[in-house]
Amino acid sequence: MSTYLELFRLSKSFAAASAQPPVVDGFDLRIERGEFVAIVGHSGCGKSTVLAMVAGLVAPSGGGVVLDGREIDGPGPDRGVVFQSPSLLPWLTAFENVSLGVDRVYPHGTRAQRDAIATHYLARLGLAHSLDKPPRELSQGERQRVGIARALALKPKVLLLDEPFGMLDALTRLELQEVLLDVWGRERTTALMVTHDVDEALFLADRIVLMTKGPRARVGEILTTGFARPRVRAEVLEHPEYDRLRLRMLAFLAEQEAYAGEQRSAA
Amino acid sequence: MRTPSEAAQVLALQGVSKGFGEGRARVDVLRDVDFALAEGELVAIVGFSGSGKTTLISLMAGLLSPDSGTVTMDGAPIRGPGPERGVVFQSYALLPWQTALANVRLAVDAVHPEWPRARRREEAERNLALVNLSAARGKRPHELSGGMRQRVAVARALAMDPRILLLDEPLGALDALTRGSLQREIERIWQASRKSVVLVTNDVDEAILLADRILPLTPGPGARLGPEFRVPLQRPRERAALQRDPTFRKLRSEVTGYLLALAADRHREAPEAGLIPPLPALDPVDLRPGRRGTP
Repeated sequence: MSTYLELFRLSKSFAAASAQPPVVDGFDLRIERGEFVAIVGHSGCGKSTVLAMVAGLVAPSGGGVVLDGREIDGPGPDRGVVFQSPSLLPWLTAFENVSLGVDRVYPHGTRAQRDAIATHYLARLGLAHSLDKPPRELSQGERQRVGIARALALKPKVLLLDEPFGMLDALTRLELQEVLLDVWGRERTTALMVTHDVDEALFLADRIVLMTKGPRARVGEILTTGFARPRVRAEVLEHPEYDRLRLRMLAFLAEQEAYAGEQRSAA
Repeated sequence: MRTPSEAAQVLALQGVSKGFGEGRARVDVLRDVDFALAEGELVAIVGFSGSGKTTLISLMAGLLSPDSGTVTMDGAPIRGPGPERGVVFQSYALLPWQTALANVRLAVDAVHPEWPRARRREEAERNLALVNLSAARGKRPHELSGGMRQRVAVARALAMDPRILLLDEPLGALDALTRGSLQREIERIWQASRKSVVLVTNDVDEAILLADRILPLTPGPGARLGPEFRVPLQRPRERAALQRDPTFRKLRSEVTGYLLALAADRHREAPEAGLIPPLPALDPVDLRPGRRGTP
């Protein structure tokens, strides 16, 4: 398969000219169509900055992002983004929150078709009975379900997930991981996710990108998870590769922590 | 490890229901909950947020009274909060203008007003030392980290020398590292004091690490306690070693499997009822400036 989404020598400096080293420097990654890739790294390493550059919300200082043969130069509905906080409009219902984007990207469809799209995705996420509820009547997990439905309903070329379950309690996180895999498995939208949860990355992703600790963060190592899809958590956890990959990830993160410590004491 | 039938029951709930609100807005939070805690036992109640865990612990603490059913301690109905039941909340609930020591001292003063000053102070110091916070005795809550604040709250609860400790997601607000070290401390304190403990948590690993028994709370409304899971693991339990222990793994998968299956029922898709309309064959338009139109 060929590259569908390419991150090419991506760099980002926030400080004014050369005052500080770039946060991300020379980040290279090629993703195939239909792949689910997770980026894992310490908090503050620049993971979310990489994702924001793919989303077009942050302009790279160097390098670029090419999606389906076109360079990204700003945000657009071909990239559905799910943030840690779902950022729903509080005065609109779940259905209206999803319709907002759907109406924009399917102007050539009929009202009935657009409504069917919004309803379809909300129902797939288990919210068939909550279409008319405003966010305040939904639990935190249900709000994040709306956020995922809103992103997928645009039929994006790539789904970008920035710590989507970071604010949820441990059990709801597990629940939503399965919900996400279920709905993702039907369409296999190319997905790029940022998380610091090692087990979450292992359960969801085809490949895991381990990122070095910033500044000048880049791709440190890439692991391939070979677990069969559709995935069943109990089977993934019992897979002989699971422990090896998990330990490798933890060791990488610990090495990065130690290395950053040395850099600090040397400075 | 003892069970309620083998040892004296200290705390019991029978057929307890509790709801809030009136008329159509009424929500049944707990429905028909039965529970028994044996002397010296550590029981974990695990459930999703919003399922009624805090309501349950508040009933045990006597901060709420049940709509129906009974809550008893040593067979006598609980009519309100009391020093024999120490509560630790997720939000710490410390007095912000008082030092760590003074916050603990308040509990000692309330329970032992007849003691001389020096002894009360000593008792507060002793409990602060139990949670390794002697060095921070003069600091106010805003000068302490989340983990340290939660230790003060634990010390304050211990200072009343309660027979039962009620812990309501005590570690929920803490990061993973701090949580790990406080988990070890809770186990150590519990083993040293042999108090009876009810721990409410949404973290299955934490429940297995600490508890003798785990009781899942089904997702509300109308939450009930599900079947009991015994934890047949030797103590002290070491988190890293447990990750590879087959008993731990099996138990974790059973408990999470049970709770996730219930949650899935709650959000069950209903394609048979026509609730999931088929997707129309439509592709999104390109919204970039100057490129409007169907692809």
